[in-house]
Amino acid sequence: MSNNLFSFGKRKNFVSIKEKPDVVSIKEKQNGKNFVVFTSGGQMLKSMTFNISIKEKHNDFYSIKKILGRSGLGDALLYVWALGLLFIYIFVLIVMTFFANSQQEQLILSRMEQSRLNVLTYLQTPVMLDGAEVSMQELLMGAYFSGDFQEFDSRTREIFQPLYPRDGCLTWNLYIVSRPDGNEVHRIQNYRRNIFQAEAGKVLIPAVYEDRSLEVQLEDVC
Amino acid sequence: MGSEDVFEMSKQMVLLAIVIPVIFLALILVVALFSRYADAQLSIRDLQQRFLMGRLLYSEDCFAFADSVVHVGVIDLRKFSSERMGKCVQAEERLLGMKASLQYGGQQKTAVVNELMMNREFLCEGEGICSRQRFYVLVEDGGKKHRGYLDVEVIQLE
Repeated sequence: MSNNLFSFGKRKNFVSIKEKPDVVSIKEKQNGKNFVVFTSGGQMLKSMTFNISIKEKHNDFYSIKKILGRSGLGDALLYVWALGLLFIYIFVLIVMTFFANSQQEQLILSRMEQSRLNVLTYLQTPVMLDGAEVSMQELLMGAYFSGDFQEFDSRTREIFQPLYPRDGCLTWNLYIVSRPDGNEVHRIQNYRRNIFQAEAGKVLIPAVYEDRSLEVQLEDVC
Repeated sequence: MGSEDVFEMSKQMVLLAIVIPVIFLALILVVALFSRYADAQLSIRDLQQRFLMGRLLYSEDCFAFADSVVHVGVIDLRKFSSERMGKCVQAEERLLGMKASLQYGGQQKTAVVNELMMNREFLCEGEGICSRQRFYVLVEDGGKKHRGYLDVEVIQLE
C-alpha cells in the first residue's frame, strides 16, 4: 500500500481520498501481490473514518488532559496559596486571641500619693547635725546654699534604703529640682534606666531668701 | 450536562465546603479578638485598699499625730491599737482584714482587724484581693519623734 494510506491522521489527506474513492481500489489491483482489503472505496472510507475518529479522539483526549492538567495545576497552586494565606491569618488570630489581654487601666495617682506621703515624712525627719537637731528639710536647704550634699545624701540613703523594695518597686531615685526654672539641682540615682517610671511623689519647699522653690521628687523604680 | 460540567460543579462544591467554614471561623476569631480589646476594666479595688492604708496615716481618727494640726505621716504611738484601727477603717460589717506592723527604734508593734481574715495567703490568688504596702513614718512617743516603717496588709473579699 502506498504511504498515503498510512497518513490518515491528517484530515487533509482523508479529504483528498474521499474526493477520489476509486483510486485506492485501483492501486490494490495494480499491486497484485497484496490482498485486497477494501472491495470498494466506500467501505474503505467508512473504515478510515472510524479509525481517524478514534485516533482524533485519542489525540483530543491527551491534548485535553494535558491542557486540563496544566490549568488544574495552576488552579491547585492558586488554591493552595490562598488557603495557606488564610490558615496563616487564622493562626495569627488564634495566637493573638490567646495572648491578648483585656485593656486594664491602672490608677497611678494612688502610687503618687503614697510616694508623696513618704516624701512628706522624710522631710520632717529629725537628724542630729553638729549636736543640733534639724529636720531633713533644713538639711536640704543648708546643702543647697553650701553646695555640699554629702551629708544630705548619706542621711537620705539611711532613710530610704530600708523602705525598698516596696509595692513591686526595687529601688528609688531622688531629684531636687529648682522651680519655676526647672533646673536640676541635685540627684541621688540608684538606678540609671527606669524599667517603669511611676509618677514621682513631689513636695515643694520654698527656698528662703530666694524667689524660687525646691521640688523634692521621689521616684519609684519599678 | 457534560462530565466536565459535573466535574467543575463538584470541584466548586468541595471548595465551598472548605472555604465557608474557614471564613466563619475567621469571623468568629476576629470578633473574639476585638471583643477582648474592647473590654476595658477599671479596677478600683486596688485604689480602695490604697486609700484605706493611706487613711491610717492621714486621719487623726486613725494613727496620725495631732496637736493643733494633724501631722501627716507621723504616728501617735498611743493611738496605735487594733480597736482604733477597726473603727478607723469601719471594718465591722465588711469582709475586710487588715494588719499593721510598726517597726521603730528596735521595737515592733502590731494592730490587727478581723484576725480571722489574716494569715489566709490562699485568698490572695485573685487580683485586687490583697494589698501590701510599706511606708516610711515617724513615731511620736512621749514628745520624741523616732524613725519607723509601717507595713500594712489588707485582704478584702467583698
